[in-house]
Amino acid sequence: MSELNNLVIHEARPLPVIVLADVSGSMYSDNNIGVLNTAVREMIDSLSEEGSLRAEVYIAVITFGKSGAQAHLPFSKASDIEWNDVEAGGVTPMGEAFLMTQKLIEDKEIISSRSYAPTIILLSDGKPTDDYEEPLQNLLSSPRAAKAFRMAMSIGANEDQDVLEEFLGDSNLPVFQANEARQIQKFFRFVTMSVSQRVQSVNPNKIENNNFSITDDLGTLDDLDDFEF
Amino acid sequence: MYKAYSASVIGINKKSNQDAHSVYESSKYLICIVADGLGSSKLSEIGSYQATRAVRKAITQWRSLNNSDSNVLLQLIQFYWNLFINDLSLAKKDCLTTCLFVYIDKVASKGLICQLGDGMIVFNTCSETYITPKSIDFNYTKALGSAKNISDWSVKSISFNNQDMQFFIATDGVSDDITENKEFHFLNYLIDEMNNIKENGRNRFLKSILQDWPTKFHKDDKTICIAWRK
Repeated sequence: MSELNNLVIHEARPLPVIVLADVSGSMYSDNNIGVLNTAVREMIDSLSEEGSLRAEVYIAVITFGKSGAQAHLPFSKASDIEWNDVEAGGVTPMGEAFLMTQKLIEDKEIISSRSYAPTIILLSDGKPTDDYEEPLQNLLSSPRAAKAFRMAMSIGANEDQDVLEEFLGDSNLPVFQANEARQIQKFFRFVTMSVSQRVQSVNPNKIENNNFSITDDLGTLDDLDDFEF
Repeated sequence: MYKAYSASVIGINKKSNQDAHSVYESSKYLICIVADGLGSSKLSEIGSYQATRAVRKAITQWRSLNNSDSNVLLQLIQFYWNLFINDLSLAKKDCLTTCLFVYIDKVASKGLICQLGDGMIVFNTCSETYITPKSIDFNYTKALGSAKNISDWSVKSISFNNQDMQFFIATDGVSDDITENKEFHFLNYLIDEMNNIKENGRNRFLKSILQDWPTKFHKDDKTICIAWRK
């Protein structure tokens, strides 16, 4: 049996969660950036506590703001992450973030073929300031990203949600709207519930929306009050 | 002398084992089959069992045709599987299953390796090694009941003259966890261990390997079939 241990992978299959977070200067308003930091930290803490489950949650956070797109948190096991707060500033280079996400998802050295389909989360409070269309189309049409579960949140008075809707594609989830900072936190609790459910599922590649009655009132996070921890 | 063994275990906390396996040996040929019913398909344990029946039935029919075209065999398999599912008044979409098999013509020392969907077949002789192509990423798989055409199958003709040969067939519950580039080591390890065990204990040994699987949090159904000629 000891030889068998050298021939078989011991780690559980990874379940990737990739967060694309807008950290442009406008995220300072209403302390959205502070709430975002708290919400991501809470999500990481919750997902790192998922024990005896079917998959090991891995998280990456890609930010886009004054320094362009950056891997603020490289793809890491949730239980190994110590979250460092992000700071807001600059414009909204979302196209760069899509490009970086595509590269990450397609890198089989980082996200192995035995991984379950990733969840990709996009949060933004404004229009992209770079040329995002081609990178977004490339991301959505890449074989691996096309199979990802996608969720999006529009923050504040963001009147232009086209890019977020485009990002969701044929996902049956709406773009969530956060009119107040606390709703960012609720959104991440919903994301956490969704990922936890997948981790515990017999088939983590299948997302069950029927426990989350969110589609009756598209994009209104009041429906998520039931998901308070 | 051919030896063939198989075993399957149900995934932890699962209600039914959606995998099926079958070994059939006659004086002229050997068939080893493994099928993995898709988790998203509610009666897939029936689909996988019917896949093992369909492969056996199709090979019997195909041999009588004296037609070595593998496409004919695959069409027969799909035909019989559809027929068996229809006979049970079930919908194909509820019975989706992968289908992996090795057919060995013992007289001619040749055969076929065929795979539809996830899983792995590893085949080895002194002069040839072969592993079926890696499954599609993120576990979205082709299956009987959803495959649109014969090109969805991976097919490899094998010929081993009078050489020794060995192979295993595994569902993705096993194959996804085997360390990359260790597949042939895994095959040799199993055969070496089984050679040290009495014949009537070998299926039990295979089952114990699957029950004590080293991967953390593993919960998939697991099925393996192994065969060799010496």
